[in-house]
Amino acid sequence: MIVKQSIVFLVVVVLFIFSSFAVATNQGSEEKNQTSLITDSAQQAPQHPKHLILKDKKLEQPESSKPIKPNMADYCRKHTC
Amino acid sequence: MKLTTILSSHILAVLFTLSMVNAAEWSYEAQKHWGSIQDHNQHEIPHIYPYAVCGIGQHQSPVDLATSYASKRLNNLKFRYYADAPNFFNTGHAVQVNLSDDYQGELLIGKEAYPLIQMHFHEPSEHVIGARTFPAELHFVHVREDGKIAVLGVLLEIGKDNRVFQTILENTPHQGGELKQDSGVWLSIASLLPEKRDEYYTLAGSLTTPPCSEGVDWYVLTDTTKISEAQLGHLKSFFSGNARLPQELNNRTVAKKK
Repeated sequence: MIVKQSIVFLVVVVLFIFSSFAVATNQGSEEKNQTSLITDSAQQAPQHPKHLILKDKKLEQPESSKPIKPNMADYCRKHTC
Repeated sequence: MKLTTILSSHILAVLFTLSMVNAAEWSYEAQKHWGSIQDHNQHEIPHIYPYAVCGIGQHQSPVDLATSYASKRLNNLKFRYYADAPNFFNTGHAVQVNLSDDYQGELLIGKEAYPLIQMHFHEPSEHVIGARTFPAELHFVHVREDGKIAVLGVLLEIGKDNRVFQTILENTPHQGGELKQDSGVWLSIASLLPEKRDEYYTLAGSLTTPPCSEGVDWYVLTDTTKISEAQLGHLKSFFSGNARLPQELNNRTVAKKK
């Protein structure tokens, strides 16, 4: 009885180790693919002159980083102030 | 036992709902506690206490103007208040007149122009002079494009009828939060100013209502505008006691233009 249980336990442990190994190998190959894609795109990107890159950066400023002026006049129309 | 449990759970539910609905609401009766009012929709300090400045601010308004010192070096005020067909607004805390969006009227403080945005009334006055409280006070609120605020305070005393004030009273909605737009009623704004306009008290202060934001320049004219006893009664029928009590000066000085 004990021998039977031990065999079942061992089989389960072996299956677990095998499946973990398979998953890890798969993830590793995906990461490799992604890295190669990034490297490719970086190599293909056109080399802008420095002043053009600076201009682009200015245009791409996100809305949220721009200073927000509180509209006090509007606030004071809606509240007693 | 069962009934008591059901009732108490219902009461708790109602109280909880009320506390959520009334988040950040304020009243003049509880003005000493404005600073500790909590906004239950917020979870982080300082957002939980939206009116904290009312309690901890050091440059709060109104104040007692009695300790003023006379100065001849202060700016001259020029009133460019033109007639307008404004909106009449019952804010729930005061009778208010919102000037139209394209209104060109402004207050010139020295060479700086402050566009007039709105006017509202307090009963009794918020600013006091020694032991003297006035029947009411009118605030002309000016806001520059950069957000800088200058408020002109005019103390109201009992005398003869003010025709423009009567028009305001007759057009203000009685329901709190109600706005009367496009009434087509024209007001001569300058008629609400007293005759003598070149003498005033001035100091740095705050909004007199929550959130009590500081950085407001105050100018309170020494002369008063007259309204009748009946008009004061009419104003009280909207709001009575909508005045913040005088605040500590905290090392500020009140200057008086002579």
